[in-house]
Amino acid sequence: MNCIEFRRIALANPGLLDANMRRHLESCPACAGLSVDLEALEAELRQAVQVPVPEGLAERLLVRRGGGTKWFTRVAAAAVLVLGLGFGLVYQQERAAQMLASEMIEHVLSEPEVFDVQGEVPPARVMTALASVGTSPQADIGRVSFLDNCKGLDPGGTHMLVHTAFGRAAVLLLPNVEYRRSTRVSVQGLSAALFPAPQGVIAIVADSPDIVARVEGHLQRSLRLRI
Amino acid sequence: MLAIGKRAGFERLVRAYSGDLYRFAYWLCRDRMTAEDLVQETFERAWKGRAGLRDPSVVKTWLVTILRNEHARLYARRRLERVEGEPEDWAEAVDPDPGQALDVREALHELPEGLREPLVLQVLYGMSGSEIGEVMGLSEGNVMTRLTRARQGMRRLLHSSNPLGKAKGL
Repeated sequence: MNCIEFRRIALANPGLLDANMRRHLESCPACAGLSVDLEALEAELRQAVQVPVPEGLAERLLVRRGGGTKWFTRVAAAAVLVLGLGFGLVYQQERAAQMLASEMIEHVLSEPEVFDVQGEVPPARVMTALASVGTSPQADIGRVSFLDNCKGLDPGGTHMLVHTAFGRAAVLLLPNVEYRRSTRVSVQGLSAALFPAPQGVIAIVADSPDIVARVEGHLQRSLRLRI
Repeated sequence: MLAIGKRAGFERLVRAYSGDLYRFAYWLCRDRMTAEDLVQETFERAWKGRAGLRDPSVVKTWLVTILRNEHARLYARRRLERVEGEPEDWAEAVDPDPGQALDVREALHELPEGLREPLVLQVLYGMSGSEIGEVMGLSEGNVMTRLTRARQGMRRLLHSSNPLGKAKGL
């Protein structure tokens, strides 16, 4: 790789630094300097684009009047009409659930540092988190190396990393979501499953559908899930 | 308690995506009120066109594309003049050093729209070249060229606003 090729790639996508590019950096101080500069620029750009979002934006969007009728009222009326006619209810629910599962994958991808966390979260904290979705362990669920109430989870929830005999998986506890069926989805190289908890939903995200299925079965056996 | 698939399903969509859509809208139109209007129109269109969303994994690209179309439609309808000059006051932003961040925002404001937009999509959403191309109706190669020029432009603008060249190490 020469300097022109390096700069063409680095300027278009500084986040992409493959083995060829790394080798070039080791032998080219000029491109190494540029790489450092671009990292600094990216950090500032990431901060700069995060302009403040007006407080209560989502609520206003949902209730704002449009043409004399509350927008959401019209939305709800349309939904009732569609549902009343019986078209696509199950499909809509399944699609929404798949959307939620996809969002959980995106959330896990947005916090890769979680996978580097070592150690074990105290059992009391795990119990408290599980209680948020109305459940508690009746058997060992595995080692929990990370647990946090994530601001990035909408509409709120807890993100855990659980190490089981079947592999590690992100387990997301979503007390403010209601969904009474199970669903699975695979996107962006990860797989996810949702299943109902006594209060809310539990999502599992792992590297493969097989691990997700095994961890889901493991949790369903290890947790008290009867409503 | 929310109920996925009924109105709460769409409500979730609004809550999950309105923030970043607002930010993207702002960088398109550079006006807060217009940005909020654009997001409102986007979700109305999204609701009406929800049957067209076959793959939930592309919902982000789908919403951004709708917002771009609404932006174009809004300017055609209102014949709005593009906001020029000083950017709005971001002093309340949570930057550890607001003065420094403002330089980058000013530089971003100065970039031509055709360069700023793909850069914002890449930085804000982490979109790939092909995803940006899909949103903007451009080839991936064209997008990568624009991204290169956008960063070259940012570096030039930040250098010129910082003659001592010490800030940002650029």
